[in-house]
This record gives sequence, structure tokens and C-alpha cells, in this order.
Amino acid sequence: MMATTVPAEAGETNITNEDAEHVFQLDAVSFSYHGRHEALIDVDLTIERGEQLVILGANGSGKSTLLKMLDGLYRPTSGTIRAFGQDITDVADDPVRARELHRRVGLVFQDADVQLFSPTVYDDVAFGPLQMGWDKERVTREVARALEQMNVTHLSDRAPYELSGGEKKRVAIATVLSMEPDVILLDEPTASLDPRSSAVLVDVIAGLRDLGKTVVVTTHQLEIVPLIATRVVVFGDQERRPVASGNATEILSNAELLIRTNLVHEHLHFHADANLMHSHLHGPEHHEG
Amino acid sequence: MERTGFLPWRRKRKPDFVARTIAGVAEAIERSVYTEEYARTDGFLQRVDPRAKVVVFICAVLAVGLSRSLPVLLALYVATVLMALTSRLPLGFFVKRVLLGVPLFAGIVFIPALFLIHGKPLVQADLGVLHLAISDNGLISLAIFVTRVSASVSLAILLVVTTQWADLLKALRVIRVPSVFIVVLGMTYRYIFLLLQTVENLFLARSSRTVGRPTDAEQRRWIGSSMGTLMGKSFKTSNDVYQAMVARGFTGDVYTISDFKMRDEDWLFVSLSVVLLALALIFDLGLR
Amino acid sequence: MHIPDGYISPETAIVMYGAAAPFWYVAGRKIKRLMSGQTVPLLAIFSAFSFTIMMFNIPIPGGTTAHAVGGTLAAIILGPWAAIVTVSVALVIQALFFGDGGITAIGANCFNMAVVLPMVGYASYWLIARRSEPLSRRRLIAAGIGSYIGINASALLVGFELGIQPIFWTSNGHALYAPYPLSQAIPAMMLAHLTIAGAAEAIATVFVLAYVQRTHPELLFRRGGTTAAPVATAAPPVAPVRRKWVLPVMVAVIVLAVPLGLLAGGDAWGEWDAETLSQRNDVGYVPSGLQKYESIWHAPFSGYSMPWVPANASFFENALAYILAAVVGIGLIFVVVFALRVLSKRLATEQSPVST
Repeated sequence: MMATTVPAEAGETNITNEDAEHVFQLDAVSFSYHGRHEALIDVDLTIERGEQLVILGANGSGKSTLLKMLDGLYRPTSGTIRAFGQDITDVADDPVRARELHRRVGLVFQDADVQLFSPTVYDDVAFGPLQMGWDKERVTREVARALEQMNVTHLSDRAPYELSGGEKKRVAIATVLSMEPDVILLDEPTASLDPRSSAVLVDVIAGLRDLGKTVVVTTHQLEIVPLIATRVVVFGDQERRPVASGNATEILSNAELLIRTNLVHEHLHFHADANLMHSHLHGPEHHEG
Repeated sequence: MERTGFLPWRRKRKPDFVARTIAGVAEAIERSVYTEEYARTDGFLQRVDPRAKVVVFICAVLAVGLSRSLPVLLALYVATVLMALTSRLPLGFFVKRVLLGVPLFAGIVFIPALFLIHGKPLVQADLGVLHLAISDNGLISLAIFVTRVSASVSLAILLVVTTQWADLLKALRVIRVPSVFIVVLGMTYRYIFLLLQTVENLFLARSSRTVGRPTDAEQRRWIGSSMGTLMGKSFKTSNDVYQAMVARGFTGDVYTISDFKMRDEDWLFVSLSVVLLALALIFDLGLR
Repeated sequence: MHIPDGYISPETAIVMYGAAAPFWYVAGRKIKRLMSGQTVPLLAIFSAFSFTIMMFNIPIPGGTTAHAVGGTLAAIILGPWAAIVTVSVALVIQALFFGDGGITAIGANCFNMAVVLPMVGYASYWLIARRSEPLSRRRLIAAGIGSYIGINASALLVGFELGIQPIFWTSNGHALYAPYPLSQAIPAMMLAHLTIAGAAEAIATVFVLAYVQRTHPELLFRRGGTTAAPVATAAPPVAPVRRKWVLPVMVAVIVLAVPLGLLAGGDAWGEWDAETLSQRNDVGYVPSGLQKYESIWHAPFSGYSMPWVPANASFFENALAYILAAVVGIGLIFVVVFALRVLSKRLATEQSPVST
């Protein structure tokens, strides 16, 4: 497979077995930077087709590292990763397979300024399709579709630095949507957005499910979890691996878990003469109104 | 940023370099925003294919550079003003940016030459030991020089102001600029804004914390560390951007897309301009 | 130190482009090999960095401020070849977009500030630093002296380029481009750079390097950026070669070939006028048609020897006149063709009932 030379339609050909239930399967995966700082320790995790998985964890629990590993940018120090039924542990060594993985798995970086590196929005959304070696007609079509889906067509000849924070995020998602990925990974999508842009973005992310995408979102903001998650996995900031998994209601009502993993804090408030110890926890019911 | 030509400093006592750098940064950002606005208005040059503009621009700059007679240079300058008008650039903006920019400076640099170049004296003044005389040659030299610089600068402004930056970059393909270089230029321009924002924040944070007047040595140390911070950020950003590019299929070679279409009108614009410029030069030869 | 448009003659500008080009070419090759795929973002962002530090006002002892170029600094941190590219890109953007330095003078400005400055600066730095520790004080001193020498070498060159203008390009006693002779241009440039601008450059270089030694020492031990995940580069995809350059090259050859006739010392072959033609043995007769229409052809350009070109015109001027006449001729054909096409299209849409 993939014996052809490079730009030849790196498209729908196979890394894969299309019927694989599991989009990703991680088996005892560890990762450390420069052999010192341990970012992930012994992670076992399975991500199913069509889920909207939220990975919840405090800063420094290894969430971003995990996403970069799922996209083949980092190679695990030990353990194996399978994507679409195929072993991708060493995919970084094989540029052709790596590119195919990058097409099927779109990663939206936390910092949109890093992701939007072209002179205009249009060029940015076209970057991925062009690297795939698609013909001009297909590139034009996919770019138009992605801009439309993210509702940013009117921004297409703008420069990235002219956009607001919320617009940048939507354009960043469009830049991976234009490659027709099966999976979209979003790293802290609502961090540093104002509440209104945040709400818009949550709708956009929920809408990705209707497009038939598998979505993985990392966050430490509990309030967005019930709006987008079909399943939640909690990463412990000490353990550097999943410590709990369940639906949004189960996880968010487990106060002890959330405190232990540093997702909510408890502290003393002085109410009149009573010292009340409580946590700032908003359960899912808080959002259903 | 103030145009200073080849004089790299500005003479001023007690400079508040913080305020000045902030002002410079703000002006750079503002200028680019204005420029993009003009590029989006519907005028004559805005409708011309960017590649046609690049080609005509190069021919025009050559013609301006080669002309030696004042009437031809003046005619070329007037032509740029007419182009600006048909492209709906406000005359005030255009002429001011040209005349108050580089040529004024050129004029100042040139004033001593008025007296230094020998020829038939037109005006004379005896100031004790100093005998000053403006010669005909001096005056003509000055006029030619200022007109030439004005015309060149006007051409550059016309090109840049009526073309969106991204289109201008892609149009450079037409003069065989390698596409990697074009991508680097585009990315450089894009990240200048990110770094300028960082600079602005660094300087604002500093000026809000500074009480009294720091010594020059302190200022230098501070400038050094903020440039260093900027460098650290540059390294981190370039790493992250590289990953972001790889994540979208980048393998070291870049491809760009452009949907330029040379219409008959564009070809007409190019050929007519080239003919007129060549005629201008022929007249110029005759006037030598 | 940025030479604006109009200060140097087009001939000088072209020579300077020629001088810079081989350095750009070699730098491009070297960097591609050294840095693999990371080249593009690294160069772009460091060009942006170069541009940005040129905007800083640096306080000089004595109360003024000046801008630095930072070429030697870039060479020390990124290597001299990468410095050539990053400073060049910054200068190109300054010229194109911010009007700092002329567009025709990009070649000259890049050669002065992006080639000579970092090369001389880095060589001096290297000679002084030798094998000292990357974090030592000696490196700082070497960087300060190196950058000072670098910017002054560059200033000397600028003074020279401006100073030769009145020597070569004067007509009827008046200067055509920069007016000051070498004896004035060089001292003016050197005075400014030996003092204020040189100090600014040295200060910027030393203080930034000191900061990097303190906070990012790893940058001084390796070169070419860092890679968290080594991602190999793929075989370059084959782009289809399109021979679009054929037409422009042909036109250029035609235009340039015309004055070759002048070089040959006689008339261009095939362009004899009637008088010459009758004297030539191999033709022997004058076609009557030619004789008849010759007067018409003489009208506009008089067989390409234009009546208004002064009789004492130089060879170069005659050649130029020749080329220009050819350009006008070919150009007019294009004008007529495209004007007709535009007109007919306009008429067609006006007559068509579906036009909106």
C-alpha cells in the first residue's frame, strides 16, 4: 500500500481497517520529555468511533501531550498506540503514513496564533489540503465547505491578526475540517475566550458530532463538560494517567474525585460567625436551566 | 516608525525611548490596517491582476531610475498621482505620505549640495568669510533628485496600498521568486504582529511600573532582557508553528494556491503601460 | 543606513542584486541541509524577530537613541548563513511594506546589511572568541567588538556606493543620483557609525547575548532550533514543470538581439535601408516596394536611429534607444490586440439580452 509517490492523493487510502470499532487504543503508553520530565505514565485508553470524549484534567496532567501523541507528532517513550486498527507507535518515522494520519486526525492547538500561520484565512484553510497533494478543484471545494461549516466564509481574505479570539478558534477548526478528518482533537478550546465566544464555540463543537466526527476535547473547565461530552475521562495530575471514566453526570457529581484531581478547590469562607468548608463545584444540573 | 533613510538615529535630548518604541509599534500596526482598507476599496488599480501590477511596477521603477531629464521625471510623477486618483486613494493621504516622507528628508540631505555643486551662480550671498552661491546646476540637481525620489516612492506606495499583502506575495511568483521564499515572507509578516504585540505589552508593563527616571545603564539592561525574552518567545513559537504545520501534512515543501486570472484588460494595462514608459524614456533620450 | 529609491543608479542597483544573489543562493542550500523541515517556520519567525528588534530605540551613552540591525547577533545565535536569510527577509518587508529603504535598492541594502554585516561581524567575533566557553565573558566582548566592526564595514560600503554615484552618473555638470562624492559620503557615514550607530549595535548585541547566556543557555550550545518530535522529511512531491517562461524569454531575446546589430559594427542583418541595400552585392537590386514604403518606416523611428537622440550619444544610449524602439513596436501590437479583444467583449455583452 501507498507505494505511489507522495502527493498522489494521500486521501482515502488505507492506514486502516474501516470497520474498526476503536478509533484509538493506547496500551501502557508513557512519555517523557528528554528522558526526564514524565508527562504521561502507563496510560491505557480506548476511544470509540463517534464518541465525544472530554479529557478532564488540571494543567500539567499531560493532556496536551496525549493529543499530540494521538496525532503522531510525539512518539511514546514506551507502550503502543493503535489508530483505526493499525499500529501507529512509530508513525513519525514514515512520512507517508504520518501524513495520512494527520489527514484523518485533525489537531486544533490550544494557541490559535500558532495554528494560523498563513497570510490570510483562506490560505490557512487551504494549507492542509494543498499539502495532501489534492488537485486544485478539490482543494477549492473542501476549503469552501470547511469555511461554510464554521461560518467564517466572510473572513476568508482577512489576515489572522485581524480576527477576534472566538473567530480565530473557528478558523482554526476550519483548517483541520478542510482535510476531511474522521477525528478532531481540540486542546483546551475555550481557554482564554470570553463567556460569549465560549458559548458559541461549545455549540460549534457539539455540531461536529452531526458531521459524523469523533471528537476528543481536553479541558479543565467543568462548565463546558456536560454540553459536549458523551463520555468523560479524568486525568490525575499526580498519576499522569486516567483515574476515572464515566458520563458527565457521574463525574461531575463526584466531588471527592474532582478535588483530588485539582479540578475544583476547597477553601474556607467566613460566613458570619460560621466557618464553612466547601468546594466551588457546579454539578451538571447547574447548566440544565 | 519614522523614515530616517540612511541616518540611523534621531537627534533629541533626553529621549523617552519607551514611549517612542510604543508609538512606533502602534503606528506600524495602524499603518498596515489602513493599507489593507485601501486595498479593499474598489478602484482602478485594485481591480488589476497583482501580477500585472508587479510587472508594470518594475518597468516603471526602471524608467524612473533611467530618466535624466526633469520634464520626463515630472510627467512620471504626475502619472502616479493620476493613478492614485483613479484608484480612489485620497489625494491628501497619497501626496502627504510621499512628499512629507522620504523626499523631504532627501531635500534636507541635498541642501548643502545646492551650494557645493559648481555652475553658473543664480543667487549669491556673502556672509563674511563664507561665500554662498546657488548654481543652476545645483538647482537642477536638486529638482531632479527630489522628483526622482518622489516618483519612486509613489510607485512603491501605489503597489503596496492597492494590493492585499497576501496577493502581492503570490504575485512575486511571476518574477521567479521561489515559493519557499514567498511562504517565509508571508509567515514573517504574520508573526511580526505577534511579536509587536509582545513588545507593546513588555513596554506598557514597564512604563506602568517605572517610577522616576531609570539610569541609562538600567535602561540598556532592560532593553537587552526584553529583546532576549522576545528571542525566547521566537524559539518557542517557531517550534510550535512547526508542529502545527506538520499536523496538517507539512513535510518540508510548501504548496500555495492562487486563483489569479489575467484578463484581457490586464494584458492591455501591461502593454499600454510598457509602451508609454518606453516612449517616456525615448523622449528622455532626446532631451539629454 | 537603508538606501532609499533614487539614491543609486539602476546600474548600481542591478550590480548589487547580482552581488547579493549568490549569497542568498548558498545560504538557501546550506540552511535546508542544516535544519531539515523546520526551516520555514524558524526562518520566518526569526525574520520577524530581526524586524522587531530593528524597531527598538536603544539608549546610547550621551543621551541619544539609535536603532540596531542585529545582524551579528543573528549570526551568533543562528549561524551566519541563517542570519543572511533572516536579515534579508526583514529588510525586504521593511522596503515593500514600511517604505524603509528603496525597492530598487533591496539588493544593495541586503548586501550591505544582511551579507557583509553579519559575515564581517561573525568573522571578527569568531576570531576573538576562539575556543572560549559559550557562556564566558570573552564571548560577550567578542560579540560587542564583532558587531561594531560588522556595522562599520557595512557603513563604509554604503558610503562607497553613494560616493561613486556623482563620479559615474553626472550629466551636464549636475548629479543624477546621490550628489556627494566619496570624499564627503564616506566620512559622513563613518562618523555616524563609528559613534552612535556602532554603539547601538554593540549594546544590543552584548545585552541580548548576556541575557541569553543567563536564561536560555541551551540556545548557545546547539544550532537550528529544537525538535521535540523528530519528524523525517518526505521525498519532495514532484511538481509539474510548466514551461511558461518560454514566451517572455523569446520576447526578451528578440528585444535584446536588435541592438546586437550595432555591436557587429554595421546595420542589423535584414534591416538595411534602401541605400545600403543597393550597395550590397548579394542582393544587387532594391525592391521597389521597399523603396516606396521606406519613407513611412522612416517616419516614426527612422530605422531605429532616432533623430532626437543627440548625435554625440554614447553606444549605451544608442543601444537603449534601439531597445526602447523595439519595445514600443512589440508593445503597440499587444495594445491593439488586447484593446480589440476588450472592445469586442464589451460590445458582445451589451448586445446580449441576458446581460445584467
